[in-house]
Amino acid sequence: MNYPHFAISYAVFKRTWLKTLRRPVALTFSLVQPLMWMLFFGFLFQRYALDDLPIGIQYLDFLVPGVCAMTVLFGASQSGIELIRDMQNQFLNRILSTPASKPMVMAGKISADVSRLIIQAALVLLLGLALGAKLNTAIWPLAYMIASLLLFGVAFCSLSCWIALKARSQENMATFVHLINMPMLFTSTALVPSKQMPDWLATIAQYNPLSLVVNISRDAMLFAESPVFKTSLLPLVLIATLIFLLAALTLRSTKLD
Amino acid sequence: MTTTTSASIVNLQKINKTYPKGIVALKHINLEIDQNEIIGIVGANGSGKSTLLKLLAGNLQPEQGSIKVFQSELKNNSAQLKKKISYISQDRALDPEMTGKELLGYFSALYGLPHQTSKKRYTELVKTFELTEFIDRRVNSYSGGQAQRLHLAIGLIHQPKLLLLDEPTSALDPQGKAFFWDFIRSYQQLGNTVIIISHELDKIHHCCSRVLLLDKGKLIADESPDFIIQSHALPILHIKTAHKISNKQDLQQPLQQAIPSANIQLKGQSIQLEINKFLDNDKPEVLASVLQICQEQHVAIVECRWENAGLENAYFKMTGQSISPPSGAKNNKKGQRKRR
Repeated sequence: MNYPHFAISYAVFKRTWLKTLRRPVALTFSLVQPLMWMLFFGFLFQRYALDDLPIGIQYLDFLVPGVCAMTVLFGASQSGIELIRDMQNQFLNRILSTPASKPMVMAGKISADVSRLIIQAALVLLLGLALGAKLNTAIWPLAYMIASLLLFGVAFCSLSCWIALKARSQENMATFVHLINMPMLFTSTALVPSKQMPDWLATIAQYNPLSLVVNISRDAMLFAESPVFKTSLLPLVLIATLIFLLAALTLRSTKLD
Repeated sequence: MTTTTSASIVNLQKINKTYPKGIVALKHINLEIDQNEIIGIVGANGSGKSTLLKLLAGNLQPEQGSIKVFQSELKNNSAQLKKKISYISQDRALDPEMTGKELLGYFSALYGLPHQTSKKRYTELVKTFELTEFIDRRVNSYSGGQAQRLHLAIGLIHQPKLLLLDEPTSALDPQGKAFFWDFIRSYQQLGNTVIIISHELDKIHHCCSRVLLLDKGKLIADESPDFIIQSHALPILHIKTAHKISNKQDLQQPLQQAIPSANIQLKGQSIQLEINKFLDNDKPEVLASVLQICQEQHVAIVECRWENAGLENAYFKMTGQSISPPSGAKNNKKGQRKRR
């Protein structure tokens, strides 16, 4: 891969960040939402004991990694909105008219969105710690958490972009996003441990990618356990790669008006 | 069948394009364009002009036929050819939240321009299109003309050899339009080729070496503008009288009887006859009849001249349709853009 390819990704990365910073309201709201979840759920369920967890672990400790993952899920679902705006003002047509490699364009966009989501998740983590959550913040647990959030972010930002390219309108996209986000959240271990779920829900939660991310982060930050690559990180790598390729190829084959 | 010559940079053979729901946009188009030409595309709304340009830009694919640009099949070499082509659409495809400077830099990168080249091009374009005053402002604060100038500048960032322009002057003021047409001529003189859709038929007449007339997806003429006008335009006879015409009815009736195919207008000191069925050989005869009737009606003539009407008239004669969009439609379009 030569220099212009990276220059393309960098230009798209820079533009995506520029636009994010120029919309402070949207940026603030996407941060406030998970904070509210953490405050409400954290203090609401703080008094209930969690089965099968070592003594001393409170619900807030359990919840913070879940809300970090949730921040990435909800934030990633907004990634495609910008593509729809670009389609509506014909800007995407102009991008597609250039000889720029479309996978590199997509890579620039996704990397900007994922870096924003990681920063947002870090802010949520800091607030959780400030509220009294007891988490292991050594380098390796943090690295495992960031790696899993990053892969999950790539997968869901790509999914959002793919939906945007197919839906082509904000209304259609919003419907689709709600259809994915809510079931994804409530069938995962982000808010509740799987052992407190009905069996059928626990089975779904086991295969939910959000649970994968949450479990990696929780194991690392609560119990200082390293993830088993084959059963935890590898599936995330595969999901992220496949959905990214799907989005990039869809962008490449998008028909100009 | 059209054969590719060495100087030919665009070659279309048997192109057919149909949109969904069976809307036929282009029918059996054969076309060859040489390097260093300015080609005007003229036609009524929905005649297939924009579709033809989008096909040449590689933005659309034909159902049938082959498109060669710079001697290469367009669909197989799209990425390479895009470096040499620029399609500047009717809609100003700009991001309102970015500044002009950011947009020029962004597209420099997407075209893979090295840093030094990009910097040089930026300076040239800012100077040529007089963007200095507002280049650091966000596009959402630009006037229509400023946005249009930036739109054109972005399209030229990679110094395309083939420039495809779809109604580029629609938002420009008269001064901007004059500047634009001068620019097009100078761009062609650098050895580039320009294909332009415009409703400014006078400018098309004076700038373009060839005009393509499209009607309902068919290429009905591919000639020099002068040839099209001489062959097809309806001539108009202008007569200036010494005094204001008072006996309009007395003059109009015999004129209409003598030249039944004429559309006659009498106004103040002017008589205008637009003649629908006409041969050049008939000119002296028509003139003699008009002069005789004027003499009979005691109308003194000061000046008398024939005018070959322009491309608009030729198109009307060939298709029965007008090229110019209805003024209401134009205004609505402007309003929609503004609201956006």
